[in-house]
Amino acid sequence: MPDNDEQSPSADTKPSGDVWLGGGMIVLALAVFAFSRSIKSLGLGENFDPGSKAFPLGLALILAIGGAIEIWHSRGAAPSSQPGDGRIKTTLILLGGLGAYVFVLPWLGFALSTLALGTSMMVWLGNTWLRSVIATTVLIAVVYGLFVVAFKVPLPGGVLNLPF
Amino acid sequence: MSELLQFHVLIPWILGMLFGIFVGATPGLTATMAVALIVPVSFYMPDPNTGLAMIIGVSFTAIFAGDIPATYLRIPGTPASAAATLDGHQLARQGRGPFALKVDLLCSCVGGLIGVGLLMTIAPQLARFALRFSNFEYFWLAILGLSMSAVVSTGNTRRGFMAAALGMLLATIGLDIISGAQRFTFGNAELMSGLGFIPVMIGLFGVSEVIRSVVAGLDNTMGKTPAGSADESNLRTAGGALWSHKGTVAKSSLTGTVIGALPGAGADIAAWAAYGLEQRTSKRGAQFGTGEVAGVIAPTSANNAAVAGAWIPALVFGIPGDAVTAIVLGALMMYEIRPGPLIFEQNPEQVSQIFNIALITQLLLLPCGYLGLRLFGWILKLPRSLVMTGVLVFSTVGAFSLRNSLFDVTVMAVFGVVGYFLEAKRMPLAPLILGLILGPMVEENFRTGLIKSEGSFLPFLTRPICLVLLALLMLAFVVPPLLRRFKPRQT
Repeated sequence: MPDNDEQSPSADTKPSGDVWLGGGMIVLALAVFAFSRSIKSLGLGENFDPGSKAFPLGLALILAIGGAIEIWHSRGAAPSSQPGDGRIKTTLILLGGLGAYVFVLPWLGFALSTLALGTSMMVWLGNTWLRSVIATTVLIAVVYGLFVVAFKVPLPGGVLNLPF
Repeated sequence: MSELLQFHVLIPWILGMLFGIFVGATPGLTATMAVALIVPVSFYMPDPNTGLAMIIGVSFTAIFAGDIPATYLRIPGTPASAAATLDGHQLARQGRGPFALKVDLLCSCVGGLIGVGLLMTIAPQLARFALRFSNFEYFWLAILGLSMSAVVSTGNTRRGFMAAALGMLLATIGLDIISGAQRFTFGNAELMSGLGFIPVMIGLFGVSEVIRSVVAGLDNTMGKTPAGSADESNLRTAGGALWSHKGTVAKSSLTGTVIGALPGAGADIAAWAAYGLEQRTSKRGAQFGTGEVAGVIAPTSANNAAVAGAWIPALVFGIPGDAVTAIVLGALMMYEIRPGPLIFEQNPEQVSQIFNIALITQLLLLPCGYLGLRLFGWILKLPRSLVMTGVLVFSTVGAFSLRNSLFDVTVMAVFGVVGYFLEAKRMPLAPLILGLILGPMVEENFRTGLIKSEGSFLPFLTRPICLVLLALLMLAFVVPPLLRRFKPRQT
């Protein structure tokens, strides 16, 4: 069951720098600089076109500068409240569940993987197994009626080749 | 207009609007999410106008519906409803919640009608003027839109600019439109055409909200069902209140439309500005915040008018006014409708259909909104865990169904996580979306402009309209802080 041991991130706090955000932006910018080398470009100056690398590099530079300013502004600021252990665990379980869902979707198909994810999510959020299974089944039936029957969308059937 | 008034168009349209009411009235779900989730469904409508009607219908109704929990629970359903929590909620505490919401519904309809009327009047004239624009002007216009969205964004301006740059960077993924070179595709064929706009949107606004809700600790009930009261108001009594404040309605709708038309300034800023303006100019300004009817009328007229106002730059220049319009603009492009001044000359029928849809939506808002008021208690009884699971399931199917691509589902999940972390760091998402939409416009016009001018930057800085846009760009840094001054301090 998720816990509530930290104030919501949307709570109104005085804006200040954030080391993690700044660092993340700098890492992203460095990745863009590195991967830009593989772009086959006309190069600067040809046909007066700055080339296909120019924009990504310029934007990466903006992100790097923004990231550096973020880190600069975080100096002396009170450290942002750290999420509690329970909250980190909740985040990891949820992200793991989402990742697993995306991974098994092509193998199990939409119906089975969604039944597994939906039911476990509802049980985790405090509902009974029976209620969770029924609610998720109804959701899947609604999706089936709307997308598969009405819109003719072939949802992934998985290795069992279910209808969806 | 008659082709819009057919059963096969009206039924999905009304169902879409009811979906907008449901999402808007559910605390924690946003109007942007409502539009992002309805877009995949709309593509399966047999007639493009039906799909457009659903999307436009949802964008207006979700804004109104956000006022319902704002009034009863003091929890704005959408950011545009935050100003409605002040006097609307005070009226609800006095047992006059149903009256406040009926006034709100009428104001939303009238505000929307005034906004659409101004859109129909101004947009064609502006389009004629916009025909003079070339690459140099479009470059500055897109920069202006991006800067505005960054400057007015909640959080702070620095992060707004970083979000805009991040959005533009994401837009560079795929084939370069000028040279055809592959950028950041890593040999993946599905990345050649770039990141799918709709899966990114669904991830940023749908999945990230599910993650945020669950991690923040999900209260399985969405709120207390509003208690019954002795309020026996009907639409006639609400109409009487509206008539006695007709000046406020007109002034707030105009304010809403103008602010909505500013690129980057959305319905939330419009609602606060109208509230602040009314508070300062009303003789009963001191009573605002205690349950004053004008305090309900001003923001609720303005927020729906702003949705219409945001369509002015979107249709004329292809520059979205806010996140909702950015998604609608992305959807229009998928319908092969290219907004810009030429659309008014080359496809006037399509433009007039969009105007008609927006107009009829305001009239349909009345019965749909009234039904929403009646059903709000039922919405609150739904377990939040079921709503969030439903959002996750519909997000997945919505992302998949556009191109029958599991890769798009992965993109949606990745951006759900990205959106969650960015919001946790108070990074505004609206400039990111505008960056994603306007990035190609900025790059293409900059590079084409340079090719045209044989490498000279002078036309960017010396053409008369460019100079005006540059002046507006400078104003963009001055006006929003002034607008914020209108936002009253919440107690």
